[in-house]
Amino acid sequence: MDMLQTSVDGLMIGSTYALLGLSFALVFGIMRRINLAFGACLLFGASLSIYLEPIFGWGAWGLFLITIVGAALASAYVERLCFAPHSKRHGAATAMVASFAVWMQLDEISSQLLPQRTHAFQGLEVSNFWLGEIFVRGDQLLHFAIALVSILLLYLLLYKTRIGLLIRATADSPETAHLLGAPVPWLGFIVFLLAGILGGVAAFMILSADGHVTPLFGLWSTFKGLVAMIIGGVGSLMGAVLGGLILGLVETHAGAALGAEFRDMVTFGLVFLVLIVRPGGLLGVKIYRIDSLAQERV
Amino acid sequence: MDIYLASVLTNMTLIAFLALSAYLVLVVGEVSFGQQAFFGIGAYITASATALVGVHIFWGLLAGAIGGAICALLLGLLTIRLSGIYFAISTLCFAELLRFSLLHIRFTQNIDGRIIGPDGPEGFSNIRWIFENHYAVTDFLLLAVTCLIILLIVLFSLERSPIMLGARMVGDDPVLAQSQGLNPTHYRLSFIAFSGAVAGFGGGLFALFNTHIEPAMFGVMLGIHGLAYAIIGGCGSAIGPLLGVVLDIGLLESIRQLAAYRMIIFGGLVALLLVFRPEGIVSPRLVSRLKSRWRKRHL
Amino acid sequence: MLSVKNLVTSYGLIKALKGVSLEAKKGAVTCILGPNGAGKTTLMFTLAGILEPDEGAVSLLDQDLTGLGAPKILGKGLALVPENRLVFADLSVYENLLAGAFTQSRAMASQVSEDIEKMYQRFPILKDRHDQPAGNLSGGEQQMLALARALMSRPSILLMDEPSVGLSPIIVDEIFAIIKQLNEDGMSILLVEQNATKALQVADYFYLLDQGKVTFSGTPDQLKDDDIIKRAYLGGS
Repeated sequence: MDMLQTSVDGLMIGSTYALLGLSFALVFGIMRRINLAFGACLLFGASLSIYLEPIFGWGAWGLFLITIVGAALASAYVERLCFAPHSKRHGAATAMVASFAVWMQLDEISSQLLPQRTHAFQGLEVSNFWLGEIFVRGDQLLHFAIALVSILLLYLLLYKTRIGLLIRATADSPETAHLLGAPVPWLGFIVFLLAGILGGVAAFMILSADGHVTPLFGLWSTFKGLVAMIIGGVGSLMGAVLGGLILGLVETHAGAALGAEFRDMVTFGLVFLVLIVRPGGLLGVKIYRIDSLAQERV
Repeated sequence: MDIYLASVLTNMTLIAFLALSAYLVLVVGEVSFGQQAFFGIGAYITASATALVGVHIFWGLLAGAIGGAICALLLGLLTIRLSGIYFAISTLCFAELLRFSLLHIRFTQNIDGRIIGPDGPEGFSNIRWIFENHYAVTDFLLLAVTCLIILLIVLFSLERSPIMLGARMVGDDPVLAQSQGLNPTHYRLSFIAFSGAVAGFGGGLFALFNTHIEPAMFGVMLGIHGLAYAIIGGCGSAIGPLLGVVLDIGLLESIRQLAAYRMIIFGGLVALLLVFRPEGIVSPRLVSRLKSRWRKRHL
Repeated sequence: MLSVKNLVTSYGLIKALKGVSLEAKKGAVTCILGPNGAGKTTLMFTLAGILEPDEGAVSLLDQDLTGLGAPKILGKGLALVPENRLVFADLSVYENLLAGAFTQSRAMASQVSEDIEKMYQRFPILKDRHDQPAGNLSGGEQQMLALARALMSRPSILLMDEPSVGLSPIIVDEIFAIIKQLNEDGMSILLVEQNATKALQVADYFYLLDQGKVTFSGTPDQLKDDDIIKRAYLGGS
């Protein structure tokens, strides 16, 4: 029963990792770029929400909303400054570097908004309950539901709307999409916003489950998202979801079996192993070189 | 010289080693988030050599450099098939795994009434070679700067050699480099190992200067700062990382009122700069242009 | 109908087109022949708006297309079927066809559905495979898909870049039969081909492109002379 409990907890947190991974996969899929400032955008959103909370006083739902809006705004800023100017094939490295610089910038802005090393983060008040012998935290179940709904909405957007078709076509082949008249740069902007929104949702869920936010959250969430994407297979949306869930499961089981300290190391070890043995991830996607003159798929 | 100034300059010098080690990896076309691990390994090895075993810092630093090189080479071999973000993430994982190991190494001895040796999370204290040999802060600064200058001389003379040209070609386009007869793997491994040596040496100096080190000091953020200086300064020449260090720590640290907003300004400026100068301040293109202008004037 | 005057386009420092002038008449199949590296694909990409010319002018039905980007040029009625097909491998055949209609405004949704039905009639194999990923199609089927996709934008003139590349002779015959049929139904076509023999069977007029310049132009009858065909294949004399 312990295994089941741990697995349930693992899936809960894994669903938030799945959202983080999806954000990276979306941006990578359409632009072949990695946004290193992603986590910092989320931290900014969360910091902004706590900073503004006394003014609006909307409680947890207010935090939710402003975290999402803040993360989306920051993502739009990052896209305009770091990615739009470097959209040609060889601009990949420069864009990543620029996003790195803005990561530093956003981290510090967040520190200005929240000067202390740790800040309380209020979550949604939902009661906990027992499902047979399994203890279910009410808020985590709600988060899991929110994550599922978000993924479902994303699916509907991508597969049932015209703009979704535009995005998927551009992700498949940007040159062909451009030839057919797709507004590729504008689509990139939209996808960044999407990633920011998804990330904001994930950030709220993670932080409210934890109960507090620290300055390291930016680095941490960037890392988790990248890892989820890599485990599943870079660029694959399904892979990102799978990767996130698996990461959550592995992490929680490792923590339960070996303690918190070893939990992180197991994650690092797992990722390292995946990279060395099967960089294409679970779904075995082709390895991408994010590189100057190399072809799109190596 | 004012002690505070000497400390700031010493810190800049030590970080410069880290930035240069990140630069060496950038030259072969990769980004490493893990140089801080080699810095840390070098620190622990030099500390052990000088404080536990009691050798002269020359041998201690040399051992630190070699230790850093070996660890880096190991990483290079494990990640031989990886590049881009895959390589970058693997360096991060490797670094954290190394740091984790340091958290669990405990080997202390009681020497002259003091506890000396790596003691897990508590770290390694009493690295007192500098004090026991009556080095003042300014003396140490002189030592560190001298070592840095020697390294820079080596790097500058390498700059014109086929080795550096080959490495840059590999960094730019490995497929093309291979078609020209170069072996990208050899260049990658040697430069990664070299970067480990440079970081390890810097770490050794750091241990001697600080007299106390612990695993928490060698976390990801340290490496990321070193990388930032190399990227921002530009990887066209070894001057680039130095410029990055000087710009951030030197300039902005000294403007007290701005100290709190340092990264906000710096980060934003860098991203803006990259819009207009995508390859950093000291870009490879700038360097070759300057070189040809110099040649025209002096021939 | 499509008028190209003195087109100059560079790839980096290399001038791929050094002043190309040609005309594609309405309702005709105009063919561009030439050896590898002559600049044929550069020409197609410039006309379609993917590359920007350094000098020169392009106009379609007296509308100036010079320097406009691909979306606008597509909107003005010039559609390109690129070399190597370039279909969206992970999207279904149906979605690929939809993609061809990107430039049609949302109000035209019913028209788009009708157009897709028309494509299914003209290319029955696409109807059979309508929900399969385009990457699963054979080379010839992908060529038909790329062609149908280009037709979805209701072009006034269709540009085709080496439709026979990588296809077996039987499939090539099929494709060219379709090209001929399209032309008979009124479509103006500008065709780039390596396979000079097949191309000349359907062409009303042709141009010979070599090292970025037009070196010869005329009707297929004028090309009964073997020497000139050899020049088309080998370039230079």
